[in-house]
Amino acid sequence: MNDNELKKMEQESAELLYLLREVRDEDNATITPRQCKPHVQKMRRTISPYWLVAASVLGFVLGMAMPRQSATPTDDSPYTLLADTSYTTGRSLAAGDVNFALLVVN
Amino acid sequence: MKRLTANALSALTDAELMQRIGRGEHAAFDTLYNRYARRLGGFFLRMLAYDTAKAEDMVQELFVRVWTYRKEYRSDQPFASWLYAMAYNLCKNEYRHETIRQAYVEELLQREEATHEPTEAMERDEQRQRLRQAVQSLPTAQRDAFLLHYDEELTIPEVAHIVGCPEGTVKSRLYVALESVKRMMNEYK
Repeated sequence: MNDNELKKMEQESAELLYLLREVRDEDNATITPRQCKPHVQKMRRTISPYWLVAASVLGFVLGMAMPRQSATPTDDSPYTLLADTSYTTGRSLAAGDVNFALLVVN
Repeated sequence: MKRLTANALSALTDAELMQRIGRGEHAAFDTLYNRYARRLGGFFLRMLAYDTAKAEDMVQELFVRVWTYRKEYRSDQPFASWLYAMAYNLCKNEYRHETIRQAYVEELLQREEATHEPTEAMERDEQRQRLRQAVQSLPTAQRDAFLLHYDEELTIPEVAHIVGCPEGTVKSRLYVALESVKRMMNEYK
């Protein structure tokens, strides 16, 4: 195809091409661009599992770091409290007995 | 890289915006989207036989791709050409494409039969509808080249790159397409 042939045809069709661009602008005006936030979608996709893993690790670490109750009776353990509150049961407990109601509370 | 205001961003070229988008700058992406969304929407509209909802969905799909493949853009190539190449591929992937086009041409023909007494405004609208119909009824390869060159104002080398054929072939398609559209419009007169 010769360049000049196409150019000549375009010159002869100038009116048509003008109309074509008018139609194009009219068509483009009917488009309502919606919001497009692929970066936001991307963030949601990547951060979500990250937070899940991070929260699990944090929970585990905190769980491990928390002080555990000693199995040995201490001054403020339920065993000691028993001595002061045994009146509620009307009798003293023998050494080594456990007041389960107090255990639940503590 | 210094963050710019929306006004300052809108003064940047496409390639400069893409450079910023490549570094993950969201505001630059929004600027580029606002610059091209309507224009690309119109392109999809014509390529997909005036299915407005589909065209709007395609714009979304296209810009999700722009974001996804932002690092693959090379600043030495024209951005419009890169963008339209992706848009053109999306159209090609649209399987219903041909069926939709046929349905639209048939609908236009029916509308034409139902035309009432013409007023000046109606005549103008009808002429535009005729032109849409003429373009839509072109063979796919001719229509694609025609829309990319005359509507989207891409150069012949750019069109050749997008549709994947030699420049001479694009010129022939344009010539034949223009001739056909002109003939169809003259028949109407």
